[in-house]
Amino acid sequence: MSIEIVPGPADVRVLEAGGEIDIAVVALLMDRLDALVTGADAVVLDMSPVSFLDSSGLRLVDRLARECGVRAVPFRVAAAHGSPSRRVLEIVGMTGDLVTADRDAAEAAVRAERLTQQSTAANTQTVPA
Amino acid sequence: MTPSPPADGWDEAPCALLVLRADGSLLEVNRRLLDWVGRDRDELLGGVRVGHLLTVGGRIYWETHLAPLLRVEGRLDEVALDLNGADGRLPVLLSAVTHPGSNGSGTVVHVALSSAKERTRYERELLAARRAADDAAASVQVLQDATAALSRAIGVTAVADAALSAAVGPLGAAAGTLWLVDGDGALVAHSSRGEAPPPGPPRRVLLHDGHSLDRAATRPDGRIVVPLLGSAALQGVLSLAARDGLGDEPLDLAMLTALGQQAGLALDRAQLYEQSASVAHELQRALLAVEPPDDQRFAVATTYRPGVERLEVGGDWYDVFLAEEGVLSLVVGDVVGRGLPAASAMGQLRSAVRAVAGAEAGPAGLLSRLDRFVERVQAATMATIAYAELDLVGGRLRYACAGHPPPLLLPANGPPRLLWGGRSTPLGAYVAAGQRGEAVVQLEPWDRLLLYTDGLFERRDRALDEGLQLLTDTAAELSTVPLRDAVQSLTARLLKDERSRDDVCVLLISWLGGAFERQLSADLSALSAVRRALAGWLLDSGVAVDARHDLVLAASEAITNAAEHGGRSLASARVTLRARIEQTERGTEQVVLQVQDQGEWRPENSSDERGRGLTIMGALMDDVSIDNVGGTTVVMTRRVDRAHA
Amino acid sequence: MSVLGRNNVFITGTPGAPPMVFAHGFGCDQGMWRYVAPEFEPTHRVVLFDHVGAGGSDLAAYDVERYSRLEGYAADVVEVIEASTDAPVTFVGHSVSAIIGLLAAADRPELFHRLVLVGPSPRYVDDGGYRGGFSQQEIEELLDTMDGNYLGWSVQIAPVIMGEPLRPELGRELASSFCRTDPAIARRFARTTFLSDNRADLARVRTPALVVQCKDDVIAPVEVGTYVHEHLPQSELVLLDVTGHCPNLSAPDQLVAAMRRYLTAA
Repeated sequence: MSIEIVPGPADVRVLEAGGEIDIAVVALLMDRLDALVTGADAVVLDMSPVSFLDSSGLRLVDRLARECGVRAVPFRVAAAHGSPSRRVLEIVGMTGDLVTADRDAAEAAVRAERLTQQSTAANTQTVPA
Repeated sequence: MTPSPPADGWDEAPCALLVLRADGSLLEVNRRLLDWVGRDRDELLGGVRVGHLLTVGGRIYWETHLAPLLRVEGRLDEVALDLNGADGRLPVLLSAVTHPGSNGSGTVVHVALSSAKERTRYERELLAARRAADDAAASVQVLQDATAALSRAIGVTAVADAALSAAVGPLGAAAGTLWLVDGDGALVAHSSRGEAPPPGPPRRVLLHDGHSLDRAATRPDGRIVVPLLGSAALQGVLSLAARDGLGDEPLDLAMLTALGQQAGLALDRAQLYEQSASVAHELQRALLAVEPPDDQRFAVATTYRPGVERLEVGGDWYDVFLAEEGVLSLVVGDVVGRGLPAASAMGQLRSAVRAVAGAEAGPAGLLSRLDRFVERVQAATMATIAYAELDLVGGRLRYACAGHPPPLLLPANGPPRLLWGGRSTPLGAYVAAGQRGEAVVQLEPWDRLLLYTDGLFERRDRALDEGLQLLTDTAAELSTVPLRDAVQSLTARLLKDERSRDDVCVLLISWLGGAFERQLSADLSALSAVRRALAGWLLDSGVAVDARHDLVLAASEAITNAAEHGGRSLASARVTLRARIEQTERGTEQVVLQVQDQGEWRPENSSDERGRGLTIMGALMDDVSIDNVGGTTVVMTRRVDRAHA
Repeated sequence: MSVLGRNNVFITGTPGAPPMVFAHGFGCDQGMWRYVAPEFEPTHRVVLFDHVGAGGSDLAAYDVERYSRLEGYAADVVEVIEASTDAPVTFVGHSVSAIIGLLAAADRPELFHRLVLVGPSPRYVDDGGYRGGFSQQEIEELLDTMDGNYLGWSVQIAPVIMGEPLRPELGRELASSFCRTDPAIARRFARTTFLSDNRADLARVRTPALVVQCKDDVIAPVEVGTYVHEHLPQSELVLLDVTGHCPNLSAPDQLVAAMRRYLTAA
């Protein structure tokens, strides 16, 4: 079980999860989430290397999504088709925009969302001027 | 002031007559008194007081008791005193009457002393006899009580306690310490009562050969030392402090000597006893330290509870071993008698069972051979034994009972059942050739079998049937509890009010067949390992990879659920995961997963995550059912295609 | 049972007046004070009691351990004083009770105003240069004499029958049970009394005391009274021209007069 920041482009923080994520370890990971997202402009959680994931592991995804939402930081999950985590995510219906098939797609998605945010913010700033 | 002249016969009166002034000085005396005390009249009438005629004890008594009485009541009747006579002390009885003085003269006291030589001697004898009788009766009682307590005492500590209790108590010592002679002939403090044991490390006091210590004696420092003489040598000493109140009588050394003799002999017995008891315990511990064979096809839990009198080893034993490949032998036996002989007989019988067991003999054949064996080992005669052989592959159980309570079958599905087949008499009791019988019962995976000794259910105050029924009911309630906990709870519940001297042996086995079973504690630290074990079992069973992943994930979800609701209230809760492969009616195969815990399932309170867990299980499995009776059991099935059946 | 019941405490005299507590000696009970105590009723609150084991005390309260030492009796005296008065008392002790009073006053000086010690002896047995008047052997002889009479030849001295119900003719009963007690208790009290050595305790006492010594007392000779006076700080000695050990019975007038002189002067 692990969840680490991997080196990558400066504008997107990529977290890579690995090993077995179940109830026995999920609490330990939860404690570290805050530190993992602090200061990031965009976050990608790559779950493809996870060898086992169950419903308790999904709490981790929920929590990351919430932390990022609060900070208005774009967030995506990468989970390869046929991987153990992809299977679970599909069963509980956590797919759609949130989950992409690989890390590249996820990075592209958060960058796009960030651009949209910035233009919206710029527009908003012009209004009072 | 002169008294009126004495009347005729004053001097000849058969008793001594005196007239005293109020302060006790002599005013007039008769000749008889002068004769008795051997002094002359002038001397006596010159200011001598009556107290001076008496011995010192009498004088004090006169001043503290008799003079006040005379003042208050005006008379004294027949008080026993001793005169300081011409020829030594002279016992007298004193009577006195106070007369108010007439014509201004002061009060006078008329005193008569009658010789009480005979009477006093008789009285003294009577008194001595009564005191001796009282003392003897009290002493005999005290010694009897002490001897009874000493003979009841089992073990050196109990003997020491009994000896100290008698000395510091009925025999009047204020405090005492019991010292025992160690292997080097030195004294080592063992226990104390009423005082702190000597401080520091065990103090060793060397005995001085010069002092032959054969009776209780007072040492110069005031302590009383009582030898505890065994039949061959000094076993120890009792060192006592006397009460130091001034009103206290000195300790009775003769009584203490007698107590010391009894305690010495009791220590002899206790030491012999402890030696044999400790050998017996060692032996029994070795015999019961059975390491059951490590085999995935069964799980076993055992317990041994010694009787209340822990020093006595009973003859209860159990054994679990592979008689041959795929055949597990289960034994619980009870040898008649206690202590070292019982432990040794048990050891020999156990070895004999191991030597004889095997499919060739079978349970009936084994009992027949044991019959011949006990002809040579008398101590094992009349031993009872329950013996069973379990086919670990097919679940067929052959069993026989020689005078032993029936095994209890606890099926995974269905009510418990006592196995009354295969019964015959205890070992060595007369059995006609070939009459040892046996019976067979078919087990299903996860069925449990309980073997036990009679101490578990037999009580003097209830019928055997009742006891067996209680045992059956209790075991049934525990049928879903993990094996080890079930054994502990069963003995704890059945023996909770029991002060039985009897040992109790319990052996509980669960047959898994080709099934899978794992237990894990509610903290789920072993969850990952259990998943791997299940995956391995599924792989070994030829289950395809997708189905394996689904089954492992579903099992993990169910266990997580169980831990979350069972573990919250019960830190020691355990979760059991079982899996087996069964044929369906349509000829296909499915894996049955069963997850059991002692908690309560509350789907209505589910969080999102719990809801997701159920969603996942439902999505992966063909069928999910949840049973909330007596803990929670989740049963899930999934159809599988196997590469090799 | 309360202390008042245990020690058969009898309170009389003038309410609110200074309290005076009378303690009887070995061999007797509070009846010893019948000629003395009434003299102080007009001027004092008078408290009489029996030591446990004597007179009308509760024999069930007799505890071998406690009463094997005079300190046990002294503790009782403290309890009696605390239960019956709330002002410092004039304590009048006869014989062994004089010593018991000294022990109590040494430990609880605030409870005591004055001590009147009638025939005190801190040590009855001769000891080196000290002359107590008796040898250990002679004390054992006393025990024999007492035993001889408890057998019952003398009705007067026969032990009180325990548990005898109180009858209407109480006064007579009390009179005729004067100085009777359970033989085992009397024997123990005798040993405790005559084998005690309380010489060292004298110096501990700070309460002013009057030592009343009879001129001719075989139990507590004049030398002993003088010894007590010399070793007891703040004490006065008065010598009564009286024979015997019990001036409270044989010469109550002299004793009362000596007490009045002392207490008035104080």
